[in-house]
Amino acid sequence: MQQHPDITQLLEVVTAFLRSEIMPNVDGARAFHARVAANALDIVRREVEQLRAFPAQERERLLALPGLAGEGDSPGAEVLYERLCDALAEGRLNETDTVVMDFLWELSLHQLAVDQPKYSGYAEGLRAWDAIRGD
Amino acid sequence: MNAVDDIVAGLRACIPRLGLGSDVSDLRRLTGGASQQTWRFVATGPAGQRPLILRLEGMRKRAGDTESGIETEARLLRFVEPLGVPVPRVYHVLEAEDGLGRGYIMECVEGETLPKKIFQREDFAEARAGLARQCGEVLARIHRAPTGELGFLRSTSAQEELELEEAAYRRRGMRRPVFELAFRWLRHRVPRRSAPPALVHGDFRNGNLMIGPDGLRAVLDWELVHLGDPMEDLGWLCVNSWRFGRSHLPVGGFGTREELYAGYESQGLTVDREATAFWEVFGTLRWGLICQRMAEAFISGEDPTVERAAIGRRSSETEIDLLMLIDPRLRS
Repeated sequence: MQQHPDITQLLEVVTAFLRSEIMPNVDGARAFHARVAANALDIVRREVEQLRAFPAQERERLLALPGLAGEGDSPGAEVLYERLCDALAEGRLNETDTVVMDFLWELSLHQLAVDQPKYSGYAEGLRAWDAIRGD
Repeated sequence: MNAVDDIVAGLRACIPRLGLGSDVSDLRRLTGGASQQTWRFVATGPAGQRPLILRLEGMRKRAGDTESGIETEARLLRFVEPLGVPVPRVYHVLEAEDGLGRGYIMECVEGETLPKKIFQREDFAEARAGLARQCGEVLARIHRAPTGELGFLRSTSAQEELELEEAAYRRRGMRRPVFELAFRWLRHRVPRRSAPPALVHGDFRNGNLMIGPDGLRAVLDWELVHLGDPMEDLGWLCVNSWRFGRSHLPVGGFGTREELYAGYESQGLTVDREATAFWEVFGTLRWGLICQRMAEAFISGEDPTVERAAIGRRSSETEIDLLMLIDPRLRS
């Protein structure tokens, strides 16, 4: 059952409280930490929103990568990530596998959109990813 | 031994003895890492007021820290100054009788270390224009330092550095596919050992460079100094994280590689372009691993601050930077 106010609304009001009520009224170091705290809540809000937008897609994408799951094998996303990490560490999958690289680009851009969308490298990454897909 | 009053008392006893003044005032903390603290104070004497810096060893020292120790730092500053490397002058290395703990007192060099200020200040326009070249010149002076008397420094190679980072990463158990890709990419491109190892600053980047309208005034933070592959410093200086949004200028957001290399080679040394590419990828990965390490300190409860928690989420910045550097499709 959907609760009201929902998670996003609760996070927004707490973040706004930190930014407009706390930050201007405390000393330098505390104001800095209040800002970091508000930014951390922004990350939570973006992650919650993203989970709503992309349910369960991750596992299917992982299953589509070469050699991570055998016939009749139905591992969860966690196990698939471990196998992907092993394959990349050993070089069985590497930077010349375009399907793997495409997945890593999308995964990383996704994660950065949650974690630090203001990082300058995010805009550059999006441009680079567009250029790659445009080929 | 961190209370302001204790430090002031210690300085009041020590400053007159050193002939640096007769009284001490205006003590304030500039930075405080887990391993080092930096304080600024003013010594007053017959000749007037003189701002000074006190560097103190912090409380915590972690096992496996690759930092070289505070006395080593002071010793290094004294060693490189006559070689034409801009550094603050060290006036005194603390002794037990000073009662201040371990550390040293040095000149306070005025200027800016904040990248935003360095990028924006109008009176820095000329300094900015020549900064990448100047960084190249200064790095070359560090790298060609005679190492015969530097046997007390940690000596390492690209191969060893990579193995150290990977071992720490594996212990941590926070696996990320892009980091796995980067480790393997690096393992296949380790530069051959430069013989003999050179003096390497280890953290030569935007943020540790004190800039004035006249250019580079001081190279700070010698905590990670070691003997190794000098190309490490050139690659680290170009890591995207230190460009602070000005990615089109790979050298700290203020200059081009060509300028940096020209300054370096003007001092009679040669830049190994392939090795700098290795070290730039290595440096990008290393910053991602440092973010993880700080997050680990939060998760373990060692440093349960909101700041430590949040920095863990900055690892993903370096993933995009790594893909930009590694994906061969961007190079064709």
